Amino acid sequence: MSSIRRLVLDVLKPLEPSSIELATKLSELKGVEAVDLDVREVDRKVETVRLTLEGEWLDFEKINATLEKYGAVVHSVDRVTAGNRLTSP
Amino acid sequence: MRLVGRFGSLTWRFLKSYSSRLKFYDRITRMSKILRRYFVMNAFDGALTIFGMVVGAFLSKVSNPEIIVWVGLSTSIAISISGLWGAFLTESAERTKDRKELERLMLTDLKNTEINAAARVAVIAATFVDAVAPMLACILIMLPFFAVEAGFFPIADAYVYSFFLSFATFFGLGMFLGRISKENIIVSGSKMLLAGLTSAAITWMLSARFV
Repeated sequence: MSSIRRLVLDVLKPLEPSSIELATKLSELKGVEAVDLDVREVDRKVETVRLTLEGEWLDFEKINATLEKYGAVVHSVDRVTAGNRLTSP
Repeated sequence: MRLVGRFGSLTWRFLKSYSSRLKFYDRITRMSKILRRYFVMNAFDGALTIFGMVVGAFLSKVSNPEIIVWVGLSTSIAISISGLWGAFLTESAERTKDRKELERLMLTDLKNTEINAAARVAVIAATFVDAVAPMLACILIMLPFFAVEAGFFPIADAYVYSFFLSFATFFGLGMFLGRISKENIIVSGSKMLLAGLTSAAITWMLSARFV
């Protein structure tokens, strides 16, 4: 069975916990090998970030639950790469 | 022996993980700043109140330490309860308001998140500090009267020691504030001490006028 290898998510998160904290927590999840968090827009209390996660076996449910645990909400799933290898950088 | 070692290492691991969790909550709520403020404010409240009581007892020549101990204890309990209730209600209200505002912006429920858990911990910590800080200050200033009850020295000495402890508490709290603001700790301590001296001077003037 093939697996999700890369996910690009549009996420709205509170300013606290910080982006560093959130990225670190996501990187500790099983199956996640790399996390890239790109801040797109900063408001007074919230910010919009573009999250890119890469790994051998990404579990979207777990990723979403972790995001929710830290108060973040997935606005949209912008890109999904599945299969035995990554298609492009 | 191995069991004790295992228990020790488990306890240490638990404390370590809990302390890193508390640090994480502190980063979210910035509670250590608030707790510091609450600690100084309420310890000062408690110390000044009990100092006022001891000055009053000294001027009215109370020679029974039991009276001072019981009046002091009931006063310190009242201050602690006031701190506990006040901090719990105000902190809860503030944190709930913050959460609701964030929920409105995020268009989601944040009740089961770490943000809410951090807010709850901040409320409990503030309540605890608000209740314990004045109690500690009160008990410290009343220690000489407990010693009189235990028969260590006469009550006349206890008044002197108690005044000394009060001034040391005021000065210490001032120094603590000075250390936070990175100002001269002697100046900062003296500012706090001045409050105690002012309170004593006013009481003394009143007693000279009316007694």
